[in-house]
Amino acid sequence: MKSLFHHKLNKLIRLAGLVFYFFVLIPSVSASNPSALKLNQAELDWLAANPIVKVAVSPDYAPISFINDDGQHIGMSADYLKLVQQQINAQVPQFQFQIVVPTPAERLTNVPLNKHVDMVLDFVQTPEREQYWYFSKTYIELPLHLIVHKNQQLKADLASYKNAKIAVVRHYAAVELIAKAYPSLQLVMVDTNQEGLKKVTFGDVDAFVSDLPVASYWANQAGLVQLKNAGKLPYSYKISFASSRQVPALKTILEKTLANISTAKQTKILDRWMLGTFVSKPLVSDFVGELLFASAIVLTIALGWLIKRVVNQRARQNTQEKALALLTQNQLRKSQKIEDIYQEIAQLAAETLQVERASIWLFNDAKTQLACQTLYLKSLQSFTSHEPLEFRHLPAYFNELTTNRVIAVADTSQDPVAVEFTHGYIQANKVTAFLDGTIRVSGETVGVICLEHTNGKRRWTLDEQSFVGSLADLCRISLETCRRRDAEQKVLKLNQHLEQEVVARALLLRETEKRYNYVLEHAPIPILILKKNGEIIEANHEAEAAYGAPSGAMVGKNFIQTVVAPESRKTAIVMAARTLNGDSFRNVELTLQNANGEKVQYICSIGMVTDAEDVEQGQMVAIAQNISQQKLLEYSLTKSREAAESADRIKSMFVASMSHELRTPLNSIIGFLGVVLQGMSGELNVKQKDQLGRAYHSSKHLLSLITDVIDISKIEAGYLQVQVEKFALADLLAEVQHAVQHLAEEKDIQLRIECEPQIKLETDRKRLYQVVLNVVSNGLKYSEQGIVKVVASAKGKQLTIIVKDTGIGISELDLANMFKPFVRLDSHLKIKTLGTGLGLYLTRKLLVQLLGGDVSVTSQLGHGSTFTINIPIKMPKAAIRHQTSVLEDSRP
Amino acid sequence: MKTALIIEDNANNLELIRFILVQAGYKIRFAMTGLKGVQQALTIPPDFIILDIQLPDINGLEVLKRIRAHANGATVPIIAMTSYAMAGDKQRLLAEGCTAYIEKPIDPICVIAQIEEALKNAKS
Repeated sequence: MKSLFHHKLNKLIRLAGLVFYFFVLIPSVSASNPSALKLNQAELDWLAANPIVKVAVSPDYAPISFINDDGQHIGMSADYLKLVQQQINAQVPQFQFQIVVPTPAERLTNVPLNKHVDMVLDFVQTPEREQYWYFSKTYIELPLHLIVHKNQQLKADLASYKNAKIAVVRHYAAVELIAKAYPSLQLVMVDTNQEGLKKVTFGDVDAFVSDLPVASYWANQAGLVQLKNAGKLPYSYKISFASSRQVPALKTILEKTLANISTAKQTKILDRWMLGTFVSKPLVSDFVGELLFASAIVLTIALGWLIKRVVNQRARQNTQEKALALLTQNQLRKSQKIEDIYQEIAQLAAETLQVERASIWLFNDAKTQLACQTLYLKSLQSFTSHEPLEFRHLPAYFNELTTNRVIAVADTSQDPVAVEFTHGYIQANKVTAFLDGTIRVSGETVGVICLEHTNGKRRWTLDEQSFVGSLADLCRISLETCRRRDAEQKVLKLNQHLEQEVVARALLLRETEKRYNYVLEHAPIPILILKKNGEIIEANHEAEAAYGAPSGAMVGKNFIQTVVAPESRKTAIVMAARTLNGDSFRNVELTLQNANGEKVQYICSIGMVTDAEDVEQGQMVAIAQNISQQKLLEYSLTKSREAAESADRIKSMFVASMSHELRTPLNSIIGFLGVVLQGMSGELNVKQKDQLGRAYHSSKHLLSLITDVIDISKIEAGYLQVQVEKFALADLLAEVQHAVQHLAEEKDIQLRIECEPQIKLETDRKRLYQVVLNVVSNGLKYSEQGIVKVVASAKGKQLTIIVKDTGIGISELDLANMFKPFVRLDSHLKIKTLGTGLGLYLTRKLLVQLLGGDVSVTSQLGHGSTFTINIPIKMPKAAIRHQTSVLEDSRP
Repeated sequence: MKTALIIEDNANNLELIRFILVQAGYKIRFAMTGLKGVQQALTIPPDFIILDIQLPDINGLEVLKRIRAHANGATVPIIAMTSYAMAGDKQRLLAEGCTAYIEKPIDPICVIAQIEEALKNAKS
């Protein structure tokens, strides 16, 4: 820290050496009789009547007149004023000068009434001011110089500065002096010395008019090293006491008192402020040619004063430097969040400058609002925030922020900038003084750091102002760093994300490609990838094998011209055209050909797999499946189905033919036997008649046997179809009776039929007849005498026909086999009865399979049997089964 | 004396029905194929026709249709005489204009009565 201080000091000396060029008038107010102040009665009366005289002073015109860090007015002129007051107080003890720091408006005006004072302590004499003010003898004269950029070649000859911009501090006397002498010059008004120097540095103006002590002081404060002194102007600030012409008494009093200050005292003052001990020797000998001896004196004086200032500031600055160093160090921790940095800055600012409130605010984009980033309260040692400040409430303050680097308000109750706050922020927070440093990025104000004092007025020292400026810079750097860091991190993150995405996509793509390749190569069917124009890009192994080409030989060939057989090309072209229009085809039959021109049937699927318009990019996939095997299979299937169908037909034809073919010879056998037995061909003897009669009965038996067998096989093959008709049961039973009557009469068995005449049936009449006839003739066959009784009754939807005989009966053992084929009861009647052995079997089949009924039997050996037939009165709609009729048979 | 046209391919059966009909006093003509039967029936229409169903060339139903389709055969009584056939055959024959249906084997005693009853029904 010590070395830093020395560095700063060196810089100051260097600056001073380069820039200063001035001389000082030895005070000419030397009085011959210093101890005898003689005030007349009028003057004494006036002093008694006006015990307080307000004196306007320059607060920032070091070392002539300025306010020190403790808020005291000091400087050369202050010392003079003190001596004046002492002299007056010797005669009028209650009299005192009241120091007033004028507002900017008050400073600008030359009219005493508007300045609200009777006296100006350090006023430069100008012709205009002389209209309103009496000027005492000049006690120091500071020549004016032209400060220019160090690269600027201009001389201190204002006459040559045509069209040049010359900056002058607005309320300084130089304005009047120069404007009068060079009306053609373009004067740029600036508010402060610092602003003027900056404008020169940045090329906004060509030169700045100032006296050297002040210019050097501010150049140092602002760290401006790009400046040089172009030369002395033929003007100087002749600094005197000025008293209003409205109070002429004051003029004489001041003249008298000033004249009464001894030369020794004056020298002491000069010594004190200008280090008069070095006056005799020039400090810098190799200075510019124009360097005058006197300038060396003042240089030394100024230097001394500056050293003094610097020494005074040392402790504070040390603290400030430490704070800044700490902050800067902390800034290096890049990862720190901007909020944390703001807090650190605010806290350090508050602690370093001993202010109660330190806050950082940022403008919104529209610059209509200041948003509080952090607010440190020193007494509570805690951070808080504040609601945003609006432009519409604080237009002047916002304006100040955009134009000033530092806003120092020593007394919020007086300063116009603070007036806006009076009823709001300032009052609410008891802010009595504040020091704001604007945060600027590329010359634009983006925010402000506010240090607010709550414990009375506070005059902000220059180093404090400088400090807040540094803090603002630090805020800016932090902001920029964080923004850049955030942006970098965002970019980095985005990059990482993109990288990951790319890697993931690449992996996915590789996986997809693997899958695709696997499917393509292992598919058991030919697959071709085609360009839009039909050129083959890729052919899988199966496709090459089918085509009979070596690996890769198909690539480049046109699908339709090469692979599709001529007869299918038309279809293929249409298909391809429609595919290009977005259709896709599945299972289109195409004849393809291999390399040898052999044709094979394929079913093909084809579709677009990319959306690209480009012929090169757009791809179709053609998938083909060899269906020649399938075709063959299809053919053989058709054939075998046809064969099966024809076999079926043959079978049914056989069944149908049997009835004819077997019966045809029987027809003539039975027929002719009948003819002969009837004696139609001549008389037969008894023996012939008996023998032919046996032949006749045998052939009849054969016929019934054949009929039964055919019926059974028809039923089993499903060729016997029911013919449903409506009829009266009584009629059917009468027919049965008629058919068996001769048998009953032969055996002398009584056949009794009991049937309710109203019973109507809806079933297959012929089959029911067959069933009933069978059961009844059975009863007659197995009876030798007695009664066969047929009883029919309807109950609900069911018809029951009971056939009861008084025959030989059936043993329990036989009952179980009653309805099995070719079972004939082992009985004494056997030889006497002709039967096929199929009768009951067929009966049961007919009942169960055709008529939807059933038959059961109960019997007792020797006591006859009872057969019970059950059928539905109305036959449920049975499925119409396939039937082959002889009529449909077309013989070859 | 009425003339019967017998269309029958089996010689034995033809002789049987011919003998029975001759015994009963009918004049007989015959054909042993369907086409010849149709030809005879239409050129010199008989008084009635005995028609077997299973014939070597065209079946009995076809013969029936062709005869009935012609003016000469529109009204001649046709008696189908066939072995036990499929259910429905009888109905189809009657629907196509067959006069009667006699199942084989024929009973020599009853067959003349059956024929005469059929002819009587056809007339009325």
